[in-house]
Amino acid sequence: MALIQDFDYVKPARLSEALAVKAEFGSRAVFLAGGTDLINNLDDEVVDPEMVIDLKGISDLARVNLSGGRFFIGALTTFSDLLASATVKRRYPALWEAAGEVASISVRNRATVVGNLCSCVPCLDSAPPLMIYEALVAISGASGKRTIPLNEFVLGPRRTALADDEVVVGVVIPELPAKRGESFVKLKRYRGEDLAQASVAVMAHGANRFRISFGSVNPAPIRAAKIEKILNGKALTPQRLAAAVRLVKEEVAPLTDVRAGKEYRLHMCEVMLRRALEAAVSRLKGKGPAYGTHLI
Amino acid sequence: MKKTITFTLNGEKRTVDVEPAEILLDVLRDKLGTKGPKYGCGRGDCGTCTVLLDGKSVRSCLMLAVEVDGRKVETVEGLSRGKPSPLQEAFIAHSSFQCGFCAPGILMTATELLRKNPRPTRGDVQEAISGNLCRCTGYEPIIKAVLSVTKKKNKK
Amino acid sequence: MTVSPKKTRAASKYRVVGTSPVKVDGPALVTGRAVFVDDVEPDGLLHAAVLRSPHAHARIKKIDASAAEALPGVKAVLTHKDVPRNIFTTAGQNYPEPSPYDSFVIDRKARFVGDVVAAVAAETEKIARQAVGLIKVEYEVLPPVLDPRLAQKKGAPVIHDEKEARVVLPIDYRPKQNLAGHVDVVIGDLNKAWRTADSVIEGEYSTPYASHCAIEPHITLSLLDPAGRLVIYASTQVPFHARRIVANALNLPVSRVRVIKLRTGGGFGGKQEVLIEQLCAALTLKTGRPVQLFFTREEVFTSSRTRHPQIINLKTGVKKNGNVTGIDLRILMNTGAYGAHALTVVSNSGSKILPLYRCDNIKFWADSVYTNLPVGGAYRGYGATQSSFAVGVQMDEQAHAIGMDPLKFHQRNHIREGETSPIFAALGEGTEGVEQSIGSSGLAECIKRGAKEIGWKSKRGRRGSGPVKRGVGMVILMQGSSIPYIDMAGATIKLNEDGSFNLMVGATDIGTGSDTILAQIAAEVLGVKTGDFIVYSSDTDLTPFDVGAYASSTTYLTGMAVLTAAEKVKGQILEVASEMLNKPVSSLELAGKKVSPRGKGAGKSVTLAEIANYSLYVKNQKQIIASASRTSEKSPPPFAAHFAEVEVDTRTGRIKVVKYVAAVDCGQPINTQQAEGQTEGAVVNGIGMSLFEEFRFSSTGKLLNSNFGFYKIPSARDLPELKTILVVTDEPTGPFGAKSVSEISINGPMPAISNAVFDAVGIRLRHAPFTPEKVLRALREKRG
Repeated sequence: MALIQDFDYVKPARLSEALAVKAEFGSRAVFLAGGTDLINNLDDEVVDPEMVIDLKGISDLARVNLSGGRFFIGALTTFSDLLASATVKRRYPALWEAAGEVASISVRNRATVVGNLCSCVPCLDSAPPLMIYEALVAISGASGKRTIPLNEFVLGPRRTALADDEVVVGVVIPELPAKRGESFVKLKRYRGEDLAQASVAVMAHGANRFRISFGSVNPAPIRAAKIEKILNGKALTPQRLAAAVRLVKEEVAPLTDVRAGKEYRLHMCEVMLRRALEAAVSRLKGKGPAYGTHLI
Repeated sequence: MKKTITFTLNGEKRTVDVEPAEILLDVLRDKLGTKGPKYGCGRGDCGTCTVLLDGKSVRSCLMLAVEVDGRKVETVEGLSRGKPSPLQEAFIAHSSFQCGFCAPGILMTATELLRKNPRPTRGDVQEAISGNLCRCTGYEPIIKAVLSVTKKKNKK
Repeated sequence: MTVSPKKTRAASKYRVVGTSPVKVDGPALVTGRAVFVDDVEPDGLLHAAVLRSPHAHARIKKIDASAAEALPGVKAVLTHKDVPRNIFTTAGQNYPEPSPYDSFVIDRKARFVGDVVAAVAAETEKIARQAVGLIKVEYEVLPPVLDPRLAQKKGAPVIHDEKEARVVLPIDYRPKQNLAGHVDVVIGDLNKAWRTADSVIEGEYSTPYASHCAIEPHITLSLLDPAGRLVIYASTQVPFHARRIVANALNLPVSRVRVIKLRTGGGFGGKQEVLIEQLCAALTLKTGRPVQLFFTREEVFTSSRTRHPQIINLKTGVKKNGNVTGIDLRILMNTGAYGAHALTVVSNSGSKILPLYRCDNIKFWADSVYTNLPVGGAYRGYGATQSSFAVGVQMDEQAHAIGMDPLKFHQRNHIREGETSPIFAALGEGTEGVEQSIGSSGLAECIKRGAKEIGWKSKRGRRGSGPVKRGVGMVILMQGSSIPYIDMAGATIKLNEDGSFNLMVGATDIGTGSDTILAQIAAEVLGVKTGDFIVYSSDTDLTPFDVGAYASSTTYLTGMAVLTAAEKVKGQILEVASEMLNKPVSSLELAGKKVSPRGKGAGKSVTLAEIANYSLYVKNQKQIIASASRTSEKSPPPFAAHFAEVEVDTRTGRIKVVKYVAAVDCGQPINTQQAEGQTEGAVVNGIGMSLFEEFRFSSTGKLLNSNFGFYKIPSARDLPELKTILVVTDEPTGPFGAKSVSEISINGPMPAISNAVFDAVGIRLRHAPFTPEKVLRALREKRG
């Protein structure tokens, strides 16, 4: 299964070296972390780099830490790392649920959260939970560091705000309301591994406060601002739930592709939002289905 | 652009020259004679190329060979030293494979599972091997074989 | 979970048959030592890659390979100009084949997206793939036929306009009308059938393109041996057909070609096709070097073979008492760009379902048409899968229409032991069929025990009150065992001086376990263990002829050849022992690896090793060896009753198969574990076809889901609770009472699940796969 490209490979031990190489090659260099996306892109001949910069030698990027309520997920953190992390399971259950829905174990052992965001396909599993956490993307470049909100990072299919001389060093989850109920639902064709046809993440916190994000049903993952607005501050009565569900079609714009039609995706977004909201609210009250339970 | 890499393959230090664009699966098979891992899809979907990298299952079709420099790789050849391991014996006893083409991958994934979790449930086994496709068996005899090994362990 | 076969007298009278010894290739498979074609790497190996057409229908006006040839490392580029223009069929069937001759090694015309345009051999796979990108082709793009319903319309583009296209049997072939095969049969009086029926139902059903998805992609290695003969290492179900077809395609005498089947990583019909051997061999002939050619997974999807899609129009008549008065089965089958198995698959859509129901008035009419889409071929179930779906669902509709429990309806109507059907004589494989009556049937028992296991009585019609409904459904099935008077199998058995035997068969174990099963049959006769056989399959130079692994024939047909060869060897052993012991043959018996006089204390015995040594070295020296070959006079059907229990979420449209019961009569199972394994594997494949497997095309005929990311097959997470019940019967014509088991159970899930969904939510799913979208749509339509 040979690749037809020829490229060089470096594995720097420091971020500064990686950035220097990237600055030199610009768009002719690509970063490699887990490689699960990159190798397929090479095989598909959609990328033809001159240089592959392996980030796995940079120990700083393997860091995961919680400090002052902020959670930093280094660029080399794999989905298996997230799943195995007691902190993630306890504090970020929607992200934990999403990690378990990524492909299969041997892909999760390699694929990174940051790589998932950088691939920026509409169906990225990690985005909806990170959107409800209002996560920030930490970027380093030749001209310095910057941190931008995730929703400003993901621009569209395979399009991010990353410049040619920059690298994502990690994702930061800011301090969140202490008491939360969360949920993540991914629509697949069946129980086995599949790319999301639609996904939704919900956070319920405080006195009837909600954060909702949809994935796979817009060019990039979105926060459902209109729905959040009509829900926030009021009890989630059946009527209000129905009103929220009615608004779904104003928030999402699914496409028809080989895996599902747009009408079905829209319908399922409604069903999934209903179940996700109900689960998040029950979990906030310490009830509801255990995290990891499939809601569809 | 050739790179010389050294890594441990089934307990043995191996040194080999590779081009950066060479895929680990090809290097294992064609340059190092390790024919256990197979090509089934080339995109990480089927799992028959699965090997263990520092004890974790990975798709050798989704890795560059240069990435294993300095690391530890195990393939199905490493499971049996002279005779089949208990897991392999269980697979034989349960007729867990028909054509056997998926076997090298499933055995590695199951090995990873049993090392992490010596007493998996049926659900754990299903989850562990769900990324390894088998078209012959319907998976039942594979699941049974893995569970039979755990039962034996539990008795000890 | 499986339920072991009920211990019957038939089961216990054997010593080896009906047990489950370890697969003879088991240890090699689990240690990674089993040698597949990709594991063979001779010195000087070249790697091949294929340039494929981006157009569904195009003539090649100009092709310039000079840049590819100039690339360092490239050793050969073949285009249509460089290969013999011999027409043949890729279908691995007996000669003369019932499939049209419509294929060339490389043609001047491309007939589907993914058709062969050129092939390259180079020092590395990378160079070969780079070279493919350098070949310049100027196409004259032709209008394609992408809808089988339009293939025969006046003025439709003619896909096989080459003058060479022909058939080698007298079958109805009209390439100018894009008709690759046609068959029709009328028995009785259909008008009378509708007149006398209380319920007449008509409906359209369809099944999509599906891929076999053997985990080993198609692969071949060819080389020239020191004598200059072409040796092909193949992953194939049909080594002997491959030898003949390659020799014909490349203008070689058969004596110059040797095909060796190594371990084959699954076939399911997909490797009953000679697809890449001729192309690889042509590269070896051109370069003189060993060449390996394999399909990428994408090529397996786009360019190997598929399950033929069918559009089925079915009309049945039933009386209030449940009697079936008439069946009118009309099929439009899409064979794609080439006619591989075009006639025989659709013939089997009739012959492997219509005899199942007692009925005097039957009409069967089928067209198999060319389109500019991927090519159909043999796929486990072979046409019966498609028609069993339509018939299985409509019979359930009929039972409901007359207010009868489907279980009772099926119990009343199925064919029984001793009965026959006019269909057997009317429909064959490209010719007329063979009259036969049913020699063994456990179908009544299959229905009874399957119904009990699923809990039919307590679960049927109890949907539950929530939004998630439950239902049960059933179907009855039949298949065949070999193709009578066409299939042939040979076997050779040889005694070695330590008392071990060589068993050499042309039959091809492609994961089906036939090496083990055939050794069991020989072991039963020769009084030894399965492990006493060194099984070799298959090599056109060294093993006797066998048609190969298809048509559910190996256990039944090759089994009989092995049994006969073993009996001959046994005769020779007894003769030598008689000489050694100075006792008449009639007083001796062979058991436990030795020959002894009958009766207690009757005197000394001689071991097989002593007998072998005596005959090889001592006196009247000779090799104890025998060959036998067999054809069949019948194709005794295995029978099955399948039951599915499902949950349908009415809000999401998702179907969950909760439990699946397959009760199967395969005669006497030779190897219980393998028979269960064949059943479970077929059922899970069938569940995939029921729920999500299908090809999706662009408006220009390009396959959109050509990898496992987009074409999903069941994973270990997707299993229902599976129960296999083997109902043991004794087929009088089979080896130790055996019939076939490998294909039948793939036919059950589509109808059983569709019928269970009806029980759960009252909708009829007539178009597979039953995606949530279709379920929701049907639920909406039902609500009105």
